[in-house]
Amino acid sequence: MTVFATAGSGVVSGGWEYVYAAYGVTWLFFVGYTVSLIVRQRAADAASEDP
Amino acid sequence: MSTEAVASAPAPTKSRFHWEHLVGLLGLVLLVAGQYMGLFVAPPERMMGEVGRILYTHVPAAWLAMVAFTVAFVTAVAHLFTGRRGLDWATEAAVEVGAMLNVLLLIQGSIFARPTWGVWWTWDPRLTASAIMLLTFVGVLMLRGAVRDPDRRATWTSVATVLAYVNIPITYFSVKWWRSLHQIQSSPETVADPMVFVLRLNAFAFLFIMIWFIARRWRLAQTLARADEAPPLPAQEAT
Repeated sequence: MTVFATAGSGVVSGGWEYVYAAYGVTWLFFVGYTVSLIVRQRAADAASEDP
Repeated sequence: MSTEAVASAPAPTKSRFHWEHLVGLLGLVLLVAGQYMGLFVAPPERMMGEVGRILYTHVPAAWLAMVAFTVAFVTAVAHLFTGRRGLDWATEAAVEVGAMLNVLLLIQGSIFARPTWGVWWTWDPRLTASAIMLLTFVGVLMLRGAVRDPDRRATWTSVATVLAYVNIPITYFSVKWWRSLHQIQSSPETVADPMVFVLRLNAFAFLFIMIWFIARRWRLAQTLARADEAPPLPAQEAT
């Protein structure tokens, strides 16, 4: 008797789009925060040099 | 804040090269290697299949968010004892970097949850504690932004950081203390060797990049503080 025949294997199949999304958001955050640091540092340098 | 403490803070340098750039470069190289191995070299996880590869970028983000908040806690306590301005800047830097990593880990976790749990979000103890962790440290930054006086701002930031840190052990142990959908902490004994290596590679990459972020953010805080402390221009006499 195969009571659990429709229950599936329990193993997640596919899902590469989720993998790429997770890795992509990592790079997006790192690049974005790096850019924000550079922009803010330049603005702060300019403000501190402004007579 | 004592006058000696302010005076002891190093003056900002105009040099383009700082030690942290070497650390950041190492982190970038390790990140490229680690993310490539996580995507294309590591074996699929037994139950989660290819989706299990998210572990290699999600787990380091979670670890390093907590490490950044721990750095903030240590510098906050040290600032309360010493009053050194540089420690206040370090607290600000570590809290901001930790909050950024906290947002990242929540988004990664949500992407991970959809194919494995069937939902983008659930009020699971670990997820809820992680969200509270973010809110409390964002609260620290908001409090800091609302106080004008540098000495009072530094003290309040330190106290608020220590209070916010109470939630860190709760977040870490939430998967053991309560029934949670989220898996408990893994160890090298419970993870296959090829997966351990890739996980460590990414963890060290995140660590070095986090150090670079905190160091750069510290220099930004230093520059802003120096600009605030600049003496006022002499008043022009009316002719």
